[in-house]
Amino acid sequence: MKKGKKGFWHYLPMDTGRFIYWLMHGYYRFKKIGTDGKRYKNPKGGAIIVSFHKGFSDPFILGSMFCKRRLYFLTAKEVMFNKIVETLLKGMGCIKIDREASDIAAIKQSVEVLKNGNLLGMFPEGGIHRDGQGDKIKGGAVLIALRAGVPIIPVYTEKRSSIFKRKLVIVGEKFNCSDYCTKKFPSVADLNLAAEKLYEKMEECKKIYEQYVK
Amino acid sequence: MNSTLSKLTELFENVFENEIDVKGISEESRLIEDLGMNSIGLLYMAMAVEEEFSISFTNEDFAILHTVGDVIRKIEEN
Repeated sequence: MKKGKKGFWHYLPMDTGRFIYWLMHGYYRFKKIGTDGKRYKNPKGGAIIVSFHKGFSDPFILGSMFCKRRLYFLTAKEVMFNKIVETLLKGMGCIKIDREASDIAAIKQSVEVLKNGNLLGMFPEGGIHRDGQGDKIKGGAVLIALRAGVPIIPVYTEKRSSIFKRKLVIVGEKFNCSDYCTKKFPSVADLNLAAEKLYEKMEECKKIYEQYVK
Repeated sequence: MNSTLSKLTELFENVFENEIDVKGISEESRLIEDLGMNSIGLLYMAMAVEEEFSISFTNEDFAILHTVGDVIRKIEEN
């Protein structure tokens, strides 16, 4: 799936989606701030973008935030409720995953996408939590990041108070799972530890966001 | 078969550390019921086995992988 390897028609649905994201980008007028307080620039190379999942608009917000890059999404199979929706979403870069089963095909496809230098959006809590606070995150993001050898970038945003204001987004530092999983075959305990640390980084972004809007 | 089982036991020991009693592992050990693997644990086990034994698992394999013996048969088929 390297750039140029697959043709114009393969990327047409995804790039059409990116055009819509680009229009939304103009609507949101993002103000991306890093945890160091400086303006955040888009990442280079493969990376996983993680965020709390508070509503159906979250993938669109992430997509428009990173509209300059091709952003794939791990999408629950329940969202692809019929063949038309499934074809459309897959065309737009959604990777279907069965959250209840051991869906190794989805994991491998995600790893391939990342190894080819693309971005992958994930909501590691595994579902929508309207209050913005789900249970502890699952280890899937860490597993994929380790397998692909890419960092995870936590992101936090909330609904803005007025459409005339820019949408504030806090982007965390790159989280390298390999800092916690150094062995050839890291243990499940290492994996869980890395997932806990990642959750802390996501929480940190939330706290910084709250400081900005106070 | 026995050498594969011992390699697999060693791999499980590294991956699952104290979460699994590797001394009790036999070909009849069930991955979920006896070894306590959940969906992420199964995935992780499969990925470690893929790397160690240079094989490839598919989603369909998970429907027939119930015991350690099934994993060994999958390894030896390749």
